[in-house]
Amino acid sequence: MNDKMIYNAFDRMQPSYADLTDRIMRQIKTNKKHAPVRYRVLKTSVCILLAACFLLLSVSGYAAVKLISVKLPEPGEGKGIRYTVYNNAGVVKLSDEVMSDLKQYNGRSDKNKYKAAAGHEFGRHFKDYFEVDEYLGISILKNSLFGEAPDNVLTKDIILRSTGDENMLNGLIISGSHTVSGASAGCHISIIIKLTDDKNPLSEIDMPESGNTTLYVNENGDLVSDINIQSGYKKTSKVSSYKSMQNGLEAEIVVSTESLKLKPEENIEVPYILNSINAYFIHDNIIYSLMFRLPVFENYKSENFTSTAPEPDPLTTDDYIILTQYVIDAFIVN
Amino acid sequence: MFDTAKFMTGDESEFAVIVSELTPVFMHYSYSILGCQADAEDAVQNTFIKAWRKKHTLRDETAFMTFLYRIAFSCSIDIVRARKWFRAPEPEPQINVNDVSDIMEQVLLELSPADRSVIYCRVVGEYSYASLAAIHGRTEAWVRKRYQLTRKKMAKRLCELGYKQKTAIESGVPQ
Repeated sequence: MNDKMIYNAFDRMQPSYADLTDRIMRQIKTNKKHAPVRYRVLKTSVCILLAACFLLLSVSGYAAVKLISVKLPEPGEGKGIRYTVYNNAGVVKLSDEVMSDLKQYNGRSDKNKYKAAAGHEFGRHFKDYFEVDEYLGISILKNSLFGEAPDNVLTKDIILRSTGDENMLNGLIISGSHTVSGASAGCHISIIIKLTDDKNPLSEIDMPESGNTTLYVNENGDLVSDINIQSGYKKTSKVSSYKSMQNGLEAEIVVSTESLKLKPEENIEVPYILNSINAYFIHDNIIYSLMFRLPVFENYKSENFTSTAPEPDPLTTDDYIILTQYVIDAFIVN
Repeated sequence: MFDTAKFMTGDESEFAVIVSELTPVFMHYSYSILGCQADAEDAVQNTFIKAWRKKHTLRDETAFMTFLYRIAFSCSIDIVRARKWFRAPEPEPQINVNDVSDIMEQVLLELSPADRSVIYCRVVGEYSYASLAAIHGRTEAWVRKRYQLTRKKMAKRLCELGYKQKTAIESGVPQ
């Protein structure tokens, strides 16, 4: 074997030479990165396909994705917020590394349920996987943990993300029907820990292992207390209640510790499903962490929680949006 | 002939000349690595665009071709990686065992893209090991060793494909 043989073999591999000069120069002049033609075609096709699927789902009534928006105030008018509702399911596929870690925590649960303790540890453990975007507030794109969970913990998820500058409010609401396994609260805590790591003066907060953030508001929805960090548990406070003017639903607002009724070491299965909204917001460097439980669950009796509202029909996505909007109006815009 | 100095100062018309003149060169190179016309076009397009954007990093006019080869190699490898996910495996080529170039082409196609690039740059481009190192982002010792190992691998594969028995004498190519 000699070089000539190799040279000849390479020489046979002659492609036809398309004139790429115009294409390249045009791209350079516009200073925009155009994808090669066939990728652009592919991208367009995918977009059309997705749009068609979305339309189909919308028509058939199965669409879980809805967009709502709140009118932003004019500059200088005060605080405002813009929301987009995302369907969380399958947003991002977890990397093998994360899945590997996740399996360790799955191992602590029975069948498909997460336990409270596991949920919180899990949240703490995965805090590094949540992105904190300085401008947008919180990016939850990496948070596909629930979508990947065996039980698809959030089955009717609505992820609501706010955008705004540093003076605006940032927050995340996970709403829909999901277990009270603690995984969603763990998620919140993990984000909060992440934030406290990143932002001053919140970095001074020492988040204990089973720590919770507590929100205190009065009947008018005004904040009356700062963050309260607890190292204990069973701190359950029915803070206030609100009535939605739109549909008469009553939402009872309890502190996030409601979801942490179990000591980590108790590690007890929490088998029921309830409709709830977990939410947290950041306002003036204070994190508000909330758990809204809606009185629609069954077989749920607790010494710490009493629902006085009549049992309404199961909530729909629209109900969640209305309720969420209501919460936003009550807590944020004012 | 193009003027590299003008390119380095950001002369677009000169760059157009360069693109026009060197497209065949890099099409051949990328095609040799990728074995696909469309992929090679994408790689070449990306190569020139990256070269334009990174022209400020080129400090030595004489290293211009190495600079371009290095980008072309990187763009081609990116495409190789991407298509692992998006493309079905291609069918086995039909080779004529009586044709030495056919066998050699098959042997080349069996190499990894990086090895193929090393062989190409050394044999077709006649680059020094120092330039090969710059193109592939490796040390000179690494590319030297790689080149030698690849040649051995190719020779072995040629034998396996029956080159010695069936084609060497007919083609008159010394072994």
